Amino acid sequence: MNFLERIKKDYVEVSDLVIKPINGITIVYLETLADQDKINDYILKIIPKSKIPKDIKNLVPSPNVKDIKTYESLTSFLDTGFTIIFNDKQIIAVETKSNLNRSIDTPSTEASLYGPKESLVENYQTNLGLIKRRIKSSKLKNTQSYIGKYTKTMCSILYIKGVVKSELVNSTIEKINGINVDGITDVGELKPYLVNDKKNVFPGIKITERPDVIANALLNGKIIILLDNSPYALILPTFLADFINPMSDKYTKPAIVNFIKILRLVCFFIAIFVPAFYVAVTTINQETIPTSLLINLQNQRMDVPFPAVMECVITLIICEILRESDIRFPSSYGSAISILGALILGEAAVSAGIVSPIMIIVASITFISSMIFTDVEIIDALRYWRFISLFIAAIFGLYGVGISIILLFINLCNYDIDGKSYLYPITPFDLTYLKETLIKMKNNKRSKLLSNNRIKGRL
Amino acid sequence: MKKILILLLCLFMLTGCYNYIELDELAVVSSILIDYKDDAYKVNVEVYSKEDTVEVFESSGTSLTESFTIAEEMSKQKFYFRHINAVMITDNVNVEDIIYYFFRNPDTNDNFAFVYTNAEKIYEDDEVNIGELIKNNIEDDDLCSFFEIMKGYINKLRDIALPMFDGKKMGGIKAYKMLEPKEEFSSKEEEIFKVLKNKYDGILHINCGDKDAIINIDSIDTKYNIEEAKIKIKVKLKTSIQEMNCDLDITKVSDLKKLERMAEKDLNEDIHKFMGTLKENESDILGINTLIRNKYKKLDKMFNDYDYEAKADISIYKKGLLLK
Amino acid sequence: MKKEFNMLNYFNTRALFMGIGLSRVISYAHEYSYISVILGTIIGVFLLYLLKLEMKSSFINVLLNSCIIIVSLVILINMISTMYLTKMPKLLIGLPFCLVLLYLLNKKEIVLYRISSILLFFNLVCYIFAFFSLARYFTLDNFYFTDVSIKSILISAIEFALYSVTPTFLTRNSETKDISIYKTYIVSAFTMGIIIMLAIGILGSNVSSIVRYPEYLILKEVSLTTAIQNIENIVSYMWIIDVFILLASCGNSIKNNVKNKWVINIVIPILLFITTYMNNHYEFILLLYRYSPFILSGVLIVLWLSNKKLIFER
Repeated sequence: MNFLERIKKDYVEVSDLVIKPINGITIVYLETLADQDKINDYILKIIPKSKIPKDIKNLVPSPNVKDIKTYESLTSFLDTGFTIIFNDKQIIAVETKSNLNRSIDTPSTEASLYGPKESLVENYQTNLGLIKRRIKSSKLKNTQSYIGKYTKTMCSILYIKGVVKSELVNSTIEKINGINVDGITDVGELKPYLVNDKKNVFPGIKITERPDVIANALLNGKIIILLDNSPYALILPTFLADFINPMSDKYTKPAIVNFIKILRLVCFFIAIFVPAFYVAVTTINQETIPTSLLINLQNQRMDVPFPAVMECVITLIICEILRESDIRFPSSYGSAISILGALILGEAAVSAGIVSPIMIIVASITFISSMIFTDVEIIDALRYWRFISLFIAAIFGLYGVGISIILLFINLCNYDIDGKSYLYPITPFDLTYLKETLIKMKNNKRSKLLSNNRIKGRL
Repeated sequence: MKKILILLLCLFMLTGCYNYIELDELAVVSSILIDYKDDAYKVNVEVYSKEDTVEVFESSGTSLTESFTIAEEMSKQKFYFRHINAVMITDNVNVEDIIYYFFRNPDTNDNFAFVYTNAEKIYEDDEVNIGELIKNNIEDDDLCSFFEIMKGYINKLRDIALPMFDGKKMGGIKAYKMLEPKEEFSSKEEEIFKVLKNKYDGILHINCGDKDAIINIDSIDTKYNIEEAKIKIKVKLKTSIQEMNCDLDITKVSDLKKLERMAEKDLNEDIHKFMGTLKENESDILGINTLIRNKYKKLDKMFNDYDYEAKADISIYKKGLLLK
Repeated sequence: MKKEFNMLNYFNTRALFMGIGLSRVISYAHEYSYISVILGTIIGVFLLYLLKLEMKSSFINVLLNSCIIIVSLVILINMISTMYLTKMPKLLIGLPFCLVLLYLLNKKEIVLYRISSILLFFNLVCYIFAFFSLARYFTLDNFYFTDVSIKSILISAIEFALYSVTPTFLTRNSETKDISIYKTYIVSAFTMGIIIMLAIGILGSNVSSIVRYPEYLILKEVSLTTAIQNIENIVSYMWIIDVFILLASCGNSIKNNVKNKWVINIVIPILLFITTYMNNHYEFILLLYRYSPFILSGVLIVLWLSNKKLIFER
């Protein structure tokens, strides 16, 4: 009773709180979070017209019934959609959560040609179910914890015991338990607590929404972090090779896939260095291109009033503006925007004499090759290095392009995630992980950095 | 630390770019004509201009650099020498100066065509790009490229032999002895020169009475055999018949051999005549002195102290699609 | 660590050949350069086996490493100033190079080993490309008879050994095994030998004796189709990578043997100013080119003198 009056006092301006006395017991629930049908089925229909026994727990047919001893647990159960029953001195909570979920959809950010077309949703139980459907073993463990004072979001760490290294699990659990914030809305906010990647533009942790990717990562010895109300999951630890190669390569033949993997690696460099190379070759080192091409370029650039560097910067910035506006703008207007963009860049800018046609080809090659990567953070990191190498090449020519290549590699080699190098399969050279990511070959082992249990195919 | 780096980066932006040159300000040079008269170099520079035309600038100065500078002032742009197609020289020029000028300069390319010309007016038509005309007409890069000629001269392997250009087409060789221009050879003799240099890929003409036959050379192998008093030149050719107008029946082996004999006789005579002219002028454009020095480790006798005997071995092994 | 140190060793033995080494070796031993390369490799292995030198005092360490840094910086800046950027003042050419070097040296030591294994890949790609596209210009005619005495072949072999072995001593790590050093030394000397033979076979011995950068000149000949011509500026970057790794490993060895790690940030700018001063006065460069084997043998002798007892313990 004490608790009931406290509830009435605390939830005084909460309009969806329902307190219903029935036949000697009182039911309390939040209308928006509780399902009326379930309340009917589990509670209201079974209440007898005669006297109610002291222990009402045996009467209620719901699968999830909990005893309440403290006021904090009462409020937390009430806030998650449980119905509280006050029966003399016994308080129990019955689970009657309503289904406020989206249905399982095709993945919107990571598309693939072959392979399953399911993606995670905002409900934690559904996500966990999708993963457990793929890994049917008792060794798949998931620990739970709650983050955020006001949001109390449930966060869970999944791993396969016996495959993953225990130090990684322990350190991750410590970090998550040490988070002290008001609230967390999405899994992306957890990133700075888990991985120290402030000093570098390249992302240190991978986000995915596909359960088959998650299952594969778990089998290789990685850790997954799921958060309630978030349709994405985090994968720890990640290296650069994981961003360049998506998981759908496992579903086709090696001979086809290896060519495309090499192409992706080459596109990584094309997306950074092609504008710099163009500026270096047309302004400082003009002997590198054949004579007829040079005369052709000269004729094309005769009408353009800007120097080559400025033309390059203008075109790249216009393309970035187009891309940003394409993401944010509502899709009903979408087609008009893309036509406008194509018209602006394609026809009008050339005939107005602002840019030359070769510059549009260069910009389109860089953008198309940067869109081969599915992760938006990698595309942003490439843009950062593109501008740096452009400015260095404008001053020093081909010598500057070489210096920016060396600079990029020093930056990447210096990047450590929890003690492991970011360029893992290449510089501390490891053939087994290379066969997983950068080349597709027959592989029966797990890499030694991620797991102590190295041979696949045995429990 | 980071702030210092940013300051230094700003320094780069403010100091200006030294080698930065826009494509609009670039005049790509296609060909150069160098002449020497009255103690002054006279230079004609041909430059790519808009819409497939060329522009020619003429200037003179006491040195090559000065004449190029004066020509550059006449045009509004800066000359760019890294895509030169051809350089033409005349009789009065000292070839060694030209070779060292283009070799020392890091701003020129080395694979242009180095030719000799006697013609009076070359740059007459605005539409015709003489540099590209010469470059496209060269059949064999090894004989005409500046790099090969320069290497042959500086390594003291052989004397200079420049191809000739008469204003409209290429043909013939100009042979030098040391640095003096000596004999001019016609295009027919140029073919013999190429045969002796092991690089000929053309046709041979056989005279059988009134009519003639033409055979096409597929592979060639020339060797020099140095003995006490004479040098034997063995030429081995594998050919195929291209035109057959003689009265011989090529299905018979004896007639085929007769055809080969006639070809060999013609070739031997031509080679003997060619070597005779070379010996007269003492110009070693074939590099025989090097072979002598490699064999005897010293050069007591020069190449013009030896007698020459040519032995050709022509075999016709393909006859085309017809049997007769 | 051992495998990665040997990749550094591969670059260090090749770096001093650009600019001075190649033209000097060729100018002494004309068409018998292959003999001097083989002899030089044997002498180099012998020196590596005999002398087990280690840095004792930090002052000599800093001094000798700075000598090598100055020599290679002078050569590098001269080469870039002749080939790539002809009008830039030499201080501005050396400045971004030294900034990248300082950026690398302020990180941990493991970064140097990682980046050398990545740059090795680029180096090998450029090398194999250059080799296969130049092989068709190689003629035996260029090996004509010149009067070469046995004494000049021996001098050329000793110079080859000096240029390739000296940086190894200065940047040696005490944790490495000797056999792996010999292996990488022989491999890199073999690659240098191929370049020397290509240079004589394509250019001829007279031309390569009067040219300052014969290894750059042969790259001008690469011409696969009309499109891939004049790419010597891209392919000759393998030499710049060699010198970069040599400078980084010399700076690394200075950093390891001095107590305060921040000293390297002062040493390298001072060396850059000294090289700029030398570059602006041409007589220093001429002296360097004439007396470079003496400078290098002086470095070795100073090393030996400060380590006298170790030679007999071998």
